[in-house]
Amino acid sequence: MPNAISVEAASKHFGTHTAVDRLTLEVPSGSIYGFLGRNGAGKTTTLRMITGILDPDEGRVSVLDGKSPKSVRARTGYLPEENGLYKDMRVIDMVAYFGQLRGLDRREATTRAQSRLRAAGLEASLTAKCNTLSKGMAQKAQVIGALLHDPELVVLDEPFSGLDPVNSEMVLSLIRQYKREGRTVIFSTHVVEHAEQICDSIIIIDNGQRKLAGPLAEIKAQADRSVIVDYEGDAGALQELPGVTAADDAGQHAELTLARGADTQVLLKCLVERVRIRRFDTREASLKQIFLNVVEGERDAA
Amino acid sequence: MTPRNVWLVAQRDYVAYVMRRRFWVSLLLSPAILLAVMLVPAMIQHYSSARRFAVVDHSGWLLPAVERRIAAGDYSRLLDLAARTPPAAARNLPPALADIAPDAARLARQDREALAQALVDGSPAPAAPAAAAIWRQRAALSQWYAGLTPEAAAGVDRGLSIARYQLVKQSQDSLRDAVVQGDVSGYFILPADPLAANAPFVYASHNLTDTDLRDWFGARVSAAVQARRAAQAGLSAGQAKLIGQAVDFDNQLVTRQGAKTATAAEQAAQWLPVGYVYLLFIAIMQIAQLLMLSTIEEKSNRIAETLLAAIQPSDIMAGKTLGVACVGVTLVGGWLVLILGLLAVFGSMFHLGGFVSAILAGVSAWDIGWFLVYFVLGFLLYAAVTGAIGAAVNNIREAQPYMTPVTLFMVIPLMIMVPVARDPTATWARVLSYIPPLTPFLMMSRAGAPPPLVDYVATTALLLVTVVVALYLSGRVFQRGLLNTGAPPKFREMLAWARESKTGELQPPVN
Repeated sequence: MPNAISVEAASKHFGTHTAVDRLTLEVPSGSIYGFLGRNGAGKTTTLRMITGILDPDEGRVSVLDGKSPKSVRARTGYLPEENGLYKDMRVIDMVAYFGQLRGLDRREATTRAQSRLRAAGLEASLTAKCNTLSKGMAQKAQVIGALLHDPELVVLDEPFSGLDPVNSEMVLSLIRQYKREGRTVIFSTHVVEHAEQICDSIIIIDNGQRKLAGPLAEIKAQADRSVIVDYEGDAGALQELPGVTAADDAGQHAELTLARGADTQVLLKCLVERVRIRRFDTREASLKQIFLNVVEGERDAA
Repeated sequence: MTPRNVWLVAQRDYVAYVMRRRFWVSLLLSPAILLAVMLVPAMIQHYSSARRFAVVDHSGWLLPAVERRIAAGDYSRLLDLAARTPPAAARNLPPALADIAPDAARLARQDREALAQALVDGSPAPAAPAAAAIWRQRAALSQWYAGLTPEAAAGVDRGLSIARYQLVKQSQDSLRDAVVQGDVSGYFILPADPLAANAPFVYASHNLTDTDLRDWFGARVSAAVQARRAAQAGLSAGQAKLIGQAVDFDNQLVTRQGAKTATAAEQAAQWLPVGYVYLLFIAIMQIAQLLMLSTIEEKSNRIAETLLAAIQPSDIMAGKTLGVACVGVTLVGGWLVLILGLLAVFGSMFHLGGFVSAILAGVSAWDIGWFLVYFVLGFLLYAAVTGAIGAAVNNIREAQPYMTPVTLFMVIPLMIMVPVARDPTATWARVLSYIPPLTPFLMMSRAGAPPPLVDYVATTALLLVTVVVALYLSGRVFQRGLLNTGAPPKFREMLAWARESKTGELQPPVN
């Protein structure tokens, strides 16, 4: 499968701060690709380089058949995290305007804006001023505007930020729809569960560097197994139990990452001696656990 | 740069601004304020009632002499009015004036003046038959004039003395109370021997800042005293008048076609360059600030990054500059149309129509052409600066420290435009007009005595180079600033942005 995005040892510096440090990644065409990382990890800077807003100081970024991002602006769509609206503009005019900026002619942009806003349930707000929209409605209008030109590559920076579960589900279904239509979707998120639900591949970035990347299924397969435990009582330091390499303990619910070859019977016996067990479920590691292991491992190393 | 994208951004910005209520408020309010400043004093004078005053005459002869002078002045105005009223309109005059209108029209100006004096003094009329015919109406004319109230006089001619000033009888003891209570504006005390050197003439009022009444009455008292002194010295009235007459220079306007006597309006038109500078200042200041506000708005609306992902920063800046410039041109054009339209309506009401048209006749295509050149270049220069400031900051408050020096720089030409317009060929004016940020304003200030062509060409070339460099550097700051959401950069940091070649921002995003 050809790559929709190829980033080769790209770096970006802001004064003395290095936001992205020799980052390399490849995004297969037609896939959903998730960018995971802590605040300030370099996700947005990388996305801005992929969309041509920023140029890398070193390295190379190419998209859609090896082209420079700036040369294929009409084939890419970008929804920044800090996205906004022209408050005094009518919703349909603003959406059509964004389509025009991406190369659509006025008539086509207006026609598409009208039909897609209707399809998204915004028919009543077509001629309303943008400042009258609720946050969820505004997010819909922004997504429609950013993607009105049917881009081959869709780039979304924190698309779930500030959304309630209903609107988050709406964005998730949109992303799935883009994949079905054959587009490539990359997005950054703090909500690891969203990435786990829909991503074909992910990359975990920390301190501007690539820490882990690849198809999600392979990453999870290679990761250590984990045990989900629901318990009552004081379990103490779970990460000190035999065969446990890491523990995500929420009090009465914990996810324990197991070392390779760890004996779950021994672990269960130790736990029963400490607390009353209601659930003991062996499974492959969750993406959240993998993310925490990578990021916290990095912090410990530092 | 992509012209289509520039046009799209310009179109959106233009429509967005023109559709706002505050655009229309600004469009309508500014000319209204300007017009009010121009017309309100005239309207106040038009509608104000006659100023009441009292006189205590210890000499016994001076006040009657002054009253005769006042009456002679009014008769002269009335004869002028009767003379210039077309026969068809004569029926609108009071009967006493309508009867003498045909004869007054046949008299020369100086004959009418001599006749006015004769009518007051009862002395023989000038030799002209028409003058004699009017003199025969003296009794009716005097009776009508004596019976005129200030209001009735104002209905005939607001320039008549009796329409503007009303002498009231007041006992000497009650003068102070009359002034304090506002019954009279002030009073004059004429000394027993007004012909003596340093005779104690007094003007008393509760408002000495208003010199209008004192100047008007004082001039007539002075003339009466001078006439009496001349008579005592054995001079005839004519000789006395000649001695007291001030030298009157004929103001001639020199052009390539020659020199000719300038009308009052033509003399006023000499100040057109000052008008150009005001217009330039208002237009450039208004539009450059609009650009800054529009850019700040783009950032505060969080639209900037969406735009940057779609089109080049240079397209955004050029589009915004063009759009806002069109808003400004619409605004200034609207102002001009409204001001001229309102002047045409209200100006004629206050006898300013001829004055306005004479000034407009002084507007030359050459000046307008250079005005447009300096407007475009001046706007681009200041737009480059304000656009960059707008991109670098997050709100108007943060923009203030940067805008203060820009505004000061623009105010300098306003402060020196009058000295420059008075002496446009001075070396200092010429040197200052070569400083690019001052060039548009000072070259237009010098337009009264057209600068040599070399000055036009050289200053324009220098300004053009400056504009290109400013736009280039500003484009870099604009590009960097649009994504900057943290603290505004220091001036030194802005310079660093302008010097750097890579796209980027000083502060990385948080994600």
